[in-house]
Amino acid sequence: MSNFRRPLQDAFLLLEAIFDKPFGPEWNPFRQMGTLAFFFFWVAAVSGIYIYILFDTSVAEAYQSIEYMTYEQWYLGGIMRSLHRYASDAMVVTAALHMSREFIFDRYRDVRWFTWFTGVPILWFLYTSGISGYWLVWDQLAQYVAIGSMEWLDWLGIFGEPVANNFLTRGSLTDRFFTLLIFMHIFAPLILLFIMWIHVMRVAQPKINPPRGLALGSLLMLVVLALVKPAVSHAPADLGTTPTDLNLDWYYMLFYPVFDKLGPGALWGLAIGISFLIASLPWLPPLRRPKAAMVTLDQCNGCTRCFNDCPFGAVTMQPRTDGRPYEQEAIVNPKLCTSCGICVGACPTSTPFRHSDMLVTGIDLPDFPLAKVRAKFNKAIESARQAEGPSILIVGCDHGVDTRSHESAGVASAKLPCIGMLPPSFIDYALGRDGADGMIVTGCRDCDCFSRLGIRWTEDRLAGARDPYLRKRVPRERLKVQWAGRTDGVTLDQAIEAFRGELTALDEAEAAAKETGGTSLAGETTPAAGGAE
Amino acid sequence: MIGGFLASSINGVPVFYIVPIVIFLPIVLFLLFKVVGLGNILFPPREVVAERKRAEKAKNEYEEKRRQKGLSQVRPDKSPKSPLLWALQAPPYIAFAIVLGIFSSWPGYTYHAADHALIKLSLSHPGKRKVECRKRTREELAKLPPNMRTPMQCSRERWPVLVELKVDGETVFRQYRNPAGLSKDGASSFYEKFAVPAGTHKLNIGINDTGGTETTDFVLERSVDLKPAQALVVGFHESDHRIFLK
Repeated sequence: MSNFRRPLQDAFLLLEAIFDKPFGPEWNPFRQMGTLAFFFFWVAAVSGIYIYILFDTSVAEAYQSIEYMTYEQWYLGGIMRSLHRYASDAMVVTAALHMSREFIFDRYRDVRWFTWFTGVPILWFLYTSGISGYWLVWDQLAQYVAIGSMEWLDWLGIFGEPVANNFLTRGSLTDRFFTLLIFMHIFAPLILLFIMWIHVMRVAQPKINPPRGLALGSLLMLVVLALVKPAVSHAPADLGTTPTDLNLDWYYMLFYPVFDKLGPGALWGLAIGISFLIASLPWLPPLRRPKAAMVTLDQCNGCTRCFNDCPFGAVTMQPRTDGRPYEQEAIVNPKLCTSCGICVGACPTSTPFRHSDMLVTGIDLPDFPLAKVRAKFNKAIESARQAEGPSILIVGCDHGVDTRSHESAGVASAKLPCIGMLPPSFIDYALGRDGADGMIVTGCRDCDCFSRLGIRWTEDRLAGARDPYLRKRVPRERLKVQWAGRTDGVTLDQAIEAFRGELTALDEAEAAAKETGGTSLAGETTPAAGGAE
Repeated sequence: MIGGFLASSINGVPVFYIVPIVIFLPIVLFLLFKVVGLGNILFPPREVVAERKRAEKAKNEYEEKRRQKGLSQVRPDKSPKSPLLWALQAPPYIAFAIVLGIFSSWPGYTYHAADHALIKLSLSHPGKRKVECRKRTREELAKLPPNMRTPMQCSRERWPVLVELKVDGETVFRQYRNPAGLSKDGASSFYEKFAVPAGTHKLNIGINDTGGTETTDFVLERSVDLKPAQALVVGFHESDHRIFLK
């Protein structure tokens, strides 16, 4: 399964690397597909409210009211109409890309199943919202889409009379039925919004808004598109004739030619089959992950840092149960835990400066305990120090660049499930006496942490902006942060080489300073990860 | 007994429609609330709400302490700063706009050939009862509860309806449709579309609603001049028992 994903991941990573240049890691649209879908929903909602003010809800006048907006009031009504259409189209594109990306990077199985699963009804209601909107224009495209939709529903046989009979002849479509269609177009997006809310409920600190710059750029793009290619109607609907040549909105109407070709039964089979397949993907096959994090109560002081940092809300706080003089204690819900270890990195008791039999932390991964992390660090440091020249320890994660393939003389690595598992005290430890000469912290690509918040918390901790922070005594010039995705081996190699040169220069400068009794260059170099307390 | 109950209605709503809802809705709701966990999301238990409030309070206090110490969260700004980078963002936006603009109306799709007309066969007609109604005798009526003493006894089941459509002598459609309803006491519905070249055509429509194979119970034969893209509806007036073209 993962092998099948590999080339697709490479394609995405390549594209994202290209987009990283002008947009930067945070604004990169590929990493913001979900938030962009939310944004386009709001654009469609706001423009839809304006359109509704000018829209005439009768069958006879609906078309003319839209023509008025498009041509007479093109400067506002026309733009709003085009924004409404293109934002809806953009939502389909971004939702599809968001879904594809989560699938390709395997971010939908195990505890993420709920988010994935609720994406399926989102697709259904997104399509219901979009298609029902096209009915209201009441042009020939609306006639085609409305009749097709009703014929499709009629196949179920749940209506006494075929609903398509409402569109049989001139005059058979009543204002009453048309009003029903309007209500469908209002209620479907409301339900869509409700499910979108459910969709992000299980994610801690969900991001539903894109960065402001990206949102503004996207809005500007839509406005320019609305001016360059305004949305227009077909000829008015006429139930005495049948539509012939149509300009379909393929984002929403891809299935209508399929319907014409295969018939309603086959399309129902296709729609339900695909929906079931997508919904069941998290279990095809289920993800086998290590055991969930566990709290060691006698080490937990209820500081809430693991609770604050967990990206999936797996850690909650509850009143103390062991009678110790703390208000709360952490508790892990194994059903929500991804075993990323971010909580371990957040725990103030996760320190390597302890005797081996005392190396127990407040919250730990049973399959990858802190003692094992320290043993890995020790082994890697020892290995790096074997060679001549500066020794470098690279600490990476299971989802970013493969740090092992970058080991060489003087360079050794240790991998964690997520870089967020790295307690800053381990950097202090690794660069301390008998430690490595330098340390490179890497992980996934910037702003693309597999475990969502690992990179963010690590940066904050190193910058002294989030507990537990990196101690002031740690020489920043011997620490380098280089985020690198799986395909960014060259970037990491270049960083290693550059860092090796910097460390050599540092060592020489420090040796010279010792000889002359002067000051070290260390204080003059730029800290790698900002200042700290 | 059960069939009769299912075929009845409550305030005009057929029981047949209500029963699946009554049976399946609780199951669906149970799955959604208990298995999917929607219940805990929409209506979290009281202790969870209290816990959230306490946690929120603790978090706020923690953040406040950090603010007082001048340690409030500082996110490194990773947004593009240079105007050159902003300018370089234009091509991706333009590309996306082109993709959006193009496929929102292109390529065109021909649903129906412009030189063809469309015949829509849309009719809903109940077949004759399989067993004809008969008048109940006085003795039979006396045996019935007072509220059920209808003078006529009718079977519910109806014959399937056979519809045949010939265009210029060629049979384009001939099908039986079963009556709707569990007791097969509803109407048989037809909804079919046929594209024919525009021009004059001789249409022959026949219906059998008495279980036979000859479509002679209702017949309409007419020559029609169809314009390009015209939609002609073939239907059945239940009130005056005749086939119509519109």
